[in-house]
Amino acid sequence: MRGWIAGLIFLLLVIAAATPAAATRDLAPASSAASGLSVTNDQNALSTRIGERFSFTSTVRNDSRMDRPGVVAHLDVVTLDPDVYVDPEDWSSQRTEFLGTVPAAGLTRIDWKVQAVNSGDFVLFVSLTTLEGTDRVTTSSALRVTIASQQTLNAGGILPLVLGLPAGLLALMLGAAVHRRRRLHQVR
Amino acid sequence: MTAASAEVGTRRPPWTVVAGRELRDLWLGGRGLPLMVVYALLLSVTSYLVASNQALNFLEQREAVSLTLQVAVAVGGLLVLLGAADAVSGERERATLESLLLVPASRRQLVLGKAVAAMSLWIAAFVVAMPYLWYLGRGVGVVTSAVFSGLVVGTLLALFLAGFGMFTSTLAGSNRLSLSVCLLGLLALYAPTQMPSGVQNAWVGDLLLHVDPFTAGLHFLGAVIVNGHSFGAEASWLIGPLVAAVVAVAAALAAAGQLTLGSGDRS
Repeated sequence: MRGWIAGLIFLLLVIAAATPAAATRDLAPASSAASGLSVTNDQNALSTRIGERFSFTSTVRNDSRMDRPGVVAHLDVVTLDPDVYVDPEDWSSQRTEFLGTVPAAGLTRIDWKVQAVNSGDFVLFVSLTTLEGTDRVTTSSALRVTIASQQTLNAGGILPLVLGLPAGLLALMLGAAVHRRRRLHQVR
Repeated sequence: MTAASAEVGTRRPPWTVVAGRELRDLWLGGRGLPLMVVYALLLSVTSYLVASNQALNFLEQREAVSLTLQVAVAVGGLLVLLGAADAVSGERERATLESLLLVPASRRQLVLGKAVAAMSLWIAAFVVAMPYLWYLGRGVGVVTSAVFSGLVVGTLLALFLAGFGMFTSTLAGSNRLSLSVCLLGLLALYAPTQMPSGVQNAWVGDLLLHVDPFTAGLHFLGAVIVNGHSFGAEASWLIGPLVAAVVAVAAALAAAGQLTLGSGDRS
C-alpha cells in the first residue's frame, strides 16, 4: 500500500512537471533584480491571419525605490520557422520607445501596433534597457503568435492574364491593319 | 487632316472634330495599338515575376502592386509625352502642317484636339493596367485604392506631360528636337527619385520631392498603397502634380496661339 501511494505521488510529480506553463506563469514579469525594472505583456498568445493588424500592451514596472531614468523599450520578432525570413521593420514601424524616467514604484504602459506580414509561428518579446548605468537587458515573456497563411498569388493563375491580354491586343492590332488595308483597296 | 476641314463647320466644336480625326489616325491607322501591345507585354513580365515569387510577404506584395502601378503610370505618361511631342513638330516635318492650318478652327482648338488624342494613350494604358492591378492587389485588399490613386496621379501626370509635349512640339523646328527636349525633361524629372535618402530627408530635398510632379505623384502612390495611408493624409503630395498640370496646359495653350508653319516664323 505504501509503495502504491509513493508511486501515485511520483506520478503526480511527473505530471506536474510535464504540464505546460499556465497563463499566469507566462505573464509573470521578467525582471532584473539589479535595476528593479520589469516588463510584462497583456497577452501571451494570439492567432491571426496574414495582413491583419493586431496590438498588445506592455507594462514596464519599476519595483525599486529609485527612479529609473532613460528607460528604452524595444520590440522584436523571432520566427520559429528556419525557412521564413523576418524583417521586423515590416512588422512595426515604431519598435523602439524611449520611455524617459520610470518613477520609483511606478509603471508605464506601451501600446505596440503590429502587422502580420509573414505566415507561420512567431515569438514577439519586449526588451528593456537604460541609456546609462547598466549593461543589463530585461526581456518580457514571449508573446506567441500564429499567423494563418492566405494564398493570394500563384504563377499558374496569372498565366491567362499575362499571355491573354497582350495576345488580345495583338489580335486587335492585326485586325485594324487588315481593316485599313481593305479600305485602301476599296478607295483605289 | 485635309478631310477635317470638311467636318469643321458642322455644329460640333472644332476641337472635337480635330480630336476625332486624330483619335482615328492614332488608334486605327497609327501607333496606338502597337504601343499598347508593348506596354501590355511589359506589365505581363512584371506581374509574372511578382506572382511567381512565393517568398513575398504581405508587405512585399503590396509593394509589388505599388511597383506595377508606378510602372503603369510612368510608362503611360511616357506614351502621352511621345504622342504630344510629335503632334505639331511631326506635322511640320512631314509637311502636313500647312493643310492643318487651313482648317477653319483656331490654333488653340487644333492643339487641344491633338492633346486629347495624346491623352487617350494614358486612358488606354490605364484600362490595360487594371486587370494586372486587380490580380496582384485582390489578396491584400488594395485594388480600390490602387485603381483610384493610380487614376488621379496618372491623369495629373498625363495632363502635365501632354501640356509639356504640346508646348515643346509647337515651338520646336524639328521632330528630333522636340522629342529630345521632352525625353531629357522627363529624365530630369525622374532624377530626384534616385537621390540618397539622407538628401531626401533634408528640407531642400523634401521641397524638391514635393515640387517635382513625378517624385510627388509616385510618393503618393507608395504611401497610399504600401503604407495604407488615407488620401487626405497624403494630399499635400498631389499639389505638385496639380500645379504642374495646370501650368503645362496653360503654357501649351499660350504657345498654341503662336503656332506658325515654321518654328522661327512669327509672321
